[in-house]
Amino acid sequence: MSEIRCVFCGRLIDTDKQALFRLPPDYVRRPDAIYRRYLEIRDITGKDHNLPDVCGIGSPEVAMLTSENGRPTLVTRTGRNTDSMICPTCHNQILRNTDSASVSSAVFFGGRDSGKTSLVLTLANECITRQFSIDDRFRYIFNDKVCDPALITGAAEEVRNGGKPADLRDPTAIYRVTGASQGMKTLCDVMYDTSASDIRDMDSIRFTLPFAADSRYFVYCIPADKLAETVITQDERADMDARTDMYTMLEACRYAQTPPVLTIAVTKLDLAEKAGGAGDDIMRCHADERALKNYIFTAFPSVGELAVMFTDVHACAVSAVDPDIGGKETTLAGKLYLGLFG
Amino acid sequence: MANNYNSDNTYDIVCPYCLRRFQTFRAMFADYKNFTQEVYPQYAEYLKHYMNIESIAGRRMPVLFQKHGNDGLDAFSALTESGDVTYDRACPECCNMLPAAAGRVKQFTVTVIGADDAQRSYYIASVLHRLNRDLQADFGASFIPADFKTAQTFREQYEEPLYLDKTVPEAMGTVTPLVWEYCKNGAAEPEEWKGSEVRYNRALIYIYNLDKDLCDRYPFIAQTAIAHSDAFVFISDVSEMAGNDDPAYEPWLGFLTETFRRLFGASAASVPTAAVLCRADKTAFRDRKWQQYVRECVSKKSEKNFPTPFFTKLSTKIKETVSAELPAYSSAIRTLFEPESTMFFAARTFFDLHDDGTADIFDCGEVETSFLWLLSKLNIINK
Repeated sequence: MSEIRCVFCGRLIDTDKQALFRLPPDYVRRPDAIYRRYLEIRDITGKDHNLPDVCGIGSPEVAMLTSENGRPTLVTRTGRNTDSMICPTCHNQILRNTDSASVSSAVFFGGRDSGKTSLVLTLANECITRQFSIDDRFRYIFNDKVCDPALITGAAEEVRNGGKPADLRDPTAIYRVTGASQGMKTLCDVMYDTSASDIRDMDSIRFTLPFAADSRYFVYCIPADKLAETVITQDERADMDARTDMYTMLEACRYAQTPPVLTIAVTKLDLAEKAGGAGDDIMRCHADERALKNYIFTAFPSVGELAVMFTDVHACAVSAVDPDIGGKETTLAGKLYLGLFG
Repeated sequence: MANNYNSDNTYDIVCPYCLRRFQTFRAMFADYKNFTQEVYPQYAEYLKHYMNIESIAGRRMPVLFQKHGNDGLDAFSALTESGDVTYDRACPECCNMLPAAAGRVKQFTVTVIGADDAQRSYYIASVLHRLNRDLQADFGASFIPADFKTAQTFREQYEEPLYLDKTVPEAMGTVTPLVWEYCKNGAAEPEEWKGSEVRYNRALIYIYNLDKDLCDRYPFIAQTAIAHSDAFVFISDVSEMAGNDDPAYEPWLGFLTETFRRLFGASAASVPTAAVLCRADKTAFRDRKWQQYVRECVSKKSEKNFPTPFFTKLSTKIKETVSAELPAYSSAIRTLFEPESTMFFAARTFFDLHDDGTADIFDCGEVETSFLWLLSKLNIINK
């Protein structure tokens, strides 16, 4: 039995029993209700849901199931081959090298304007520009169909110029290749951006963030200027907002066998310099994880109290506008990516 | 309270919304990767009878289904139509979503009852906010909302008005409970035996906020909640009744007596009951010296200004007030609840009401003692 994970909905699929395939592109296209439902749930517009039919073992079009280069392939009765395997739950294409051991996923949470999307774009762009991880162990590879480097670089540039990027409704998947001792090993890192509409209520969390239950990492974004302000004012509302965010994350991973590792990312670090004395403190302690954690827990006691519900807690600081804070060679974004995915 | 050994070491589930009890295997499962816009008849009935809502047509709901035969999974998970595993469960009677721990841990029902203006919501807001904050440090346990729905309700109706808007929360008595989860850090089992008694390391606590208006509108539901209760918090506004020897002046107490007689017969209810005397300080205000002192403290707008010896004296005064000035009231409470299961707490809260209805509220950090006492009586925390 081999199990593959759908990076779009997080489902683990047994390829021997549950594999479905989409017929080759020249087959008759019909509205795909299940794929349309996925698009509706994630609020994705501009994608065509009129697609060739889906078939699996037992379907009349199927002649046999074979394997080509280690990947299951379906042969139709007319002799056509297709290895376009799709997820039975959301009818999205299943990517290569996404067995459960190879996929690591991180979900980015945070309040409105906390810099979630900018952070995802910065991390992805860091991989594009550097090509190699900061410890030179991995090389990053992009699949244009799921993570277009040109689009990411463009959006990251917009962020650096002070623009506000649109939410990323599709996951951002980045492959990492390493020359391990026993041949090449490919890993797939997936980052999910969330938005306020995803976490309106309990149902919306379940509908729009089904992948969160299986994610190994949660990233909680707190803007540096808000942190600097709250540590001085000890504002009860800010603490309650942070607690609600923590409850959201706990709700999203309520059925996870192992709770995820929580990374608290202090975003918009460039704004800390403008925030006065407390901002200077953040700039001073941003490289010291322990000091930064203490600082965050002082400002938001609820985060400290609920952090025990996660497997582990880390803290870091990062800036999307000035990704090179921390030095060109070891940028904070690069360190965060390495800290998240290894 | 014993474990239910007949169903594979699981507990029967009590739905917090419709209060019906059923075995774990009867729970329905929700397929959140598949939704419907039709309203389930059971859910429509629940909305109509419990919430007074006629229709929610068009709302997206997950598809609910019964577990199909033996799918190789335990009673807490099932395979969806597309072959995925789901853990989300719903009540088969009312189609509301169940807390994740339902059936895995012991469930307790705590009913907060009191007259309409007895500050029940203030009590709930204050107690849960404090326990949420302090239980981790004091008892090495978390006490948090069991689901996001409760977290939202608690924040919007209780916590925000009291701690942000500085007003007395006026959450309506509602049939929807606050579902909280107690979880002791590092405990391997949901319960363990300590000597001759069981101790619960994990528990679900359903907190109902019942007022007379709710009992009038939904008598069956209110009576069911009262009958199912494992503990009561009985809230009284002492300032309203001081100097009144006739307990019957308060229609709520009369109603409650009648309800208890119907449910429990002539005998008193033996479940633990915390009788919380809200605004007990108001009775002490008749002493001019204290009145002046408290006013000075209130004007400084900080609870740190209240020194402990002062409150020790105040507490004694309140006890005297309860025993001397309110004998009839005290006796009426004790006829409802067995004396050994009842404990009086003077929840010392201060309200400085303004003309526009807002208030400066000060509490002295002991309001949660009554709830902690109840948790200890339910074998959840150490006595």
